Amino acid sequence: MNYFPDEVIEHVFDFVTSQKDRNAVSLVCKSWYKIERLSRQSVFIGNCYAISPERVIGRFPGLKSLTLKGKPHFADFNLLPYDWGGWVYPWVEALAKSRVGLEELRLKRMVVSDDCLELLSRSFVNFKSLVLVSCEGFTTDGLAAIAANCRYLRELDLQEIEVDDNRGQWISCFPDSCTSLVSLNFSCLKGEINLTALERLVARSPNLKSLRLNRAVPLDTLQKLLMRAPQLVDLGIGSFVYDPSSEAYIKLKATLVKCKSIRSLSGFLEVVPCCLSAIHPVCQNLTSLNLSYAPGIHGNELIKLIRFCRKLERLWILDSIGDRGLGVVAFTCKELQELRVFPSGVDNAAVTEEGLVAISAGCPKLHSLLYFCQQMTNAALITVAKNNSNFTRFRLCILDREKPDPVTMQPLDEGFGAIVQSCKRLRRLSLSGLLTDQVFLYIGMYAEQLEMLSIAFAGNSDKGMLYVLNGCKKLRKLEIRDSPFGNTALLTDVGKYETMRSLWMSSCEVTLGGCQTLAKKMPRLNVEIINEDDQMEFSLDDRQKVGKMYLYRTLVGPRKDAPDFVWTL
Amino acid sequence: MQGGIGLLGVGGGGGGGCNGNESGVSKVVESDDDELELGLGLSLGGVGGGGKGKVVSSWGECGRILTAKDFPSAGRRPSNASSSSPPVAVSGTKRAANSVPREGESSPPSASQVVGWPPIGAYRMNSLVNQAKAPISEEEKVADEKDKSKDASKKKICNGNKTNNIFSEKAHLGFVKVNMDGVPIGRKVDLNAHASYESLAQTLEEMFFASTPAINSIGGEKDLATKAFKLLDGLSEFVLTYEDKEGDWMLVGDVPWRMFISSVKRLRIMRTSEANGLGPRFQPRNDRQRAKPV
Repeated sequence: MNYFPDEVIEHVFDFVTSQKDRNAVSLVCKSWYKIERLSRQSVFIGNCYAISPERVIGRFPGLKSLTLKGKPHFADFNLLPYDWGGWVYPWVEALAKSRVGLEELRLKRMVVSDDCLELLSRSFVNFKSLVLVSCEGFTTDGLAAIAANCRYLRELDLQEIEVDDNRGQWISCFPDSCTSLVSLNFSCLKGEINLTALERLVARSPNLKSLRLNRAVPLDTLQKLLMRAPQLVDLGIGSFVYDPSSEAYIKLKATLVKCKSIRSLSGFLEVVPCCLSAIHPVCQNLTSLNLSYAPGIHGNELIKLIRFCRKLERLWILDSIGDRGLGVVAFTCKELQELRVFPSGVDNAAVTEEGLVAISAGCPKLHSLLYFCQQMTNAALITVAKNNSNFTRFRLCILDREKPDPVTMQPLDEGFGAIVQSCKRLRRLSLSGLLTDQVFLYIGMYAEQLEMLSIAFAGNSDKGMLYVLNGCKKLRKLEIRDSPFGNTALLTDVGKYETMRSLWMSSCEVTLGGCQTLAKKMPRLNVEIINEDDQMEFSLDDRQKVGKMYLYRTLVGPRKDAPDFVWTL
Repeated sequence: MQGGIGLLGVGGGGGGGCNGNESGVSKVVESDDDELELGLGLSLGGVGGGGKGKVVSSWGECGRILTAKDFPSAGRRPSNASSSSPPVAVSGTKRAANSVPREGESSPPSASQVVGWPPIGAYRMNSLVNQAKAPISEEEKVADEKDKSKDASKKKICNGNKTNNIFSEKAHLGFVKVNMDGVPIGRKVDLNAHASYESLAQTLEEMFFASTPAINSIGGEKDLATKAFKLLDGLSEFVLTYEDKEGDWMLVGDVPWRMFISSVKRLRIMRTSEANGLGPRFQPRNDRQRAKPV
């Protein structure tokens, strides 16, 4: 098979970057497998329990960048007990013992301890990038270790993390010799931060492109930071609170005008709503705007802002923008690709189907949607499907569970059916509202590219789930809660689960007996019963319904770190 | 008797721990007994994983399960009784027979009656709740521009459109951690799902002291009721405490409910014997009765 020396093939493989493609390449023949594995630098592990660190290191000794995901998605909504798992320490430990020259670690929904961060910071001389999303388990002491010991640190990015203990001094731990920072995001940290140390850090980081501040950074510090870093491309504002007549504000306005490189804006964790006009000069160049953590900005203010954002490609906003505001978005933001509308919690602020229809009509490039709304109609969804067949991600959450179409009082089967039929490239779908088995028939029939499906309070019978399992050939992740799917649905095609990453079912109709049958038939699945009330241990009644089941394919058998309340069958 | 330490059954020690709490009369209400018996007898699990089993159907063979429908008075709206009971965040609601009746409700539908709904990430939910709770009014903020401490913003009064805000009504972080002495795994409880100390205590009792289906029968309820770990009246082996935003550990039940949930950071079910120094403020029922002239 080899007409070329290995080095040539390796060079060709350098151009093959996506993991999917590299996996395909490695299957061609033994020699390609070997060349590929020795040259792979970036590894993505979608489920940290599917494989062991030792085997990953063994196969990819040249590993430089590792991405790991731990808990299942529904952990975000408190459906998974604390201490279920996802500890990253064993991975870092194994990597430290090996000769892997780790440079980048990206973790999602994992538990990271201070010890782990300390070990990480001391074990890899060239460590450059740490990205933690929805992780927990550490304090700012761990961050201090990273700051102090990673001499060539380029990226420290913390997203959606609750850090309990925050004394703000970790920022002083960056040594004076550290001048390599490109990206620093600590917007989710709750406590104070040493402002002087922060200013000095920014001043000595000429390559800094992305800076996201937390609430504790006041306006005058922001102004000073922007003076030092006019090259910023991505800015997250912490506190945006000031007196419009004050000197601080006037200075800030002037400084902002000079920051011509800013393309992405977020934060506003604390804001005086009526004075967003300082931001208007920046808006015309923005491609990404995230105001979803900005409380209490009135819809009118948002609209004024949006009118300037003609180049926007990504918008995350609260539903206080209203249907009218979405109409303005539709009119103004013709380049929009991704839209997320989150609930602000204010009852009369919610958006409805009108806003979504307007967006679908006005934004031809939109392909990714997350939309929390008060209500939705079949007619609207059918119109959306007609207007836009580009959706790759379509997540709709009607806040009122199992709410039907308010006009016809029908389930929303036809509406979602239209979406899946029209959007042939749909990869991710989340359903809500009143739904029967019919919607799943449509999904099974049309959603050929679907990889991830989230179901809650939907369906009538096992048929629903079976339509999906039979029809969606590319399904990787299926998560279901509070839906009447039982053992028949679970057990009809057990081989399917080895083609998927994972299945979550909670508050459904599957019983312990059904799960045990599945586990027996499929030894390469971990079937975990997550039981919070210590009842399963005592009762071995097969007929008992299972509260929470999480199953996933794995090459390494039942995990050894499962807590007492997790029973791997 | 040292200012109520006797309440906890602990000798000695000064009760200086509590600072500035209003003296609160015990809030345990009489119907609590019924509810507790009900609660402890119903933790059958499986269905909805830990919530009160409101569905009778599949458990018919275990004997009839008493539900809140049988006790219409117990301080709850009967229309809600057939579905998820408001104070208890059940992790799943059976759909078929129990569609949540929303038409009759006067207050806005509570977004937190079911765990994990709406599906907003916990981090985002917490940040929205906190922000909704302490909105910034322009005048105050200008005056306090220098003062960025959390305490300052926390003390600002809510005004404006907040009455309609689902999150601010709940007025606090949704979930707080709960640890119990002697139990290695902590739990989390959704404070937004409760409107009173009783319902919180009940949920915690179910979480930590619920018995197993094997020994749950109508007959067994009596035993459990007598062993009921009533976390609020200080008579049992355990007592419920919380850590407030200043880092002090206090006994739960002192302050008005809203004040409590605005300051609680996490909960701990402590052995009564270890809970000295937490300065109780109220007498147990027994003591009060004893104090009354016969």
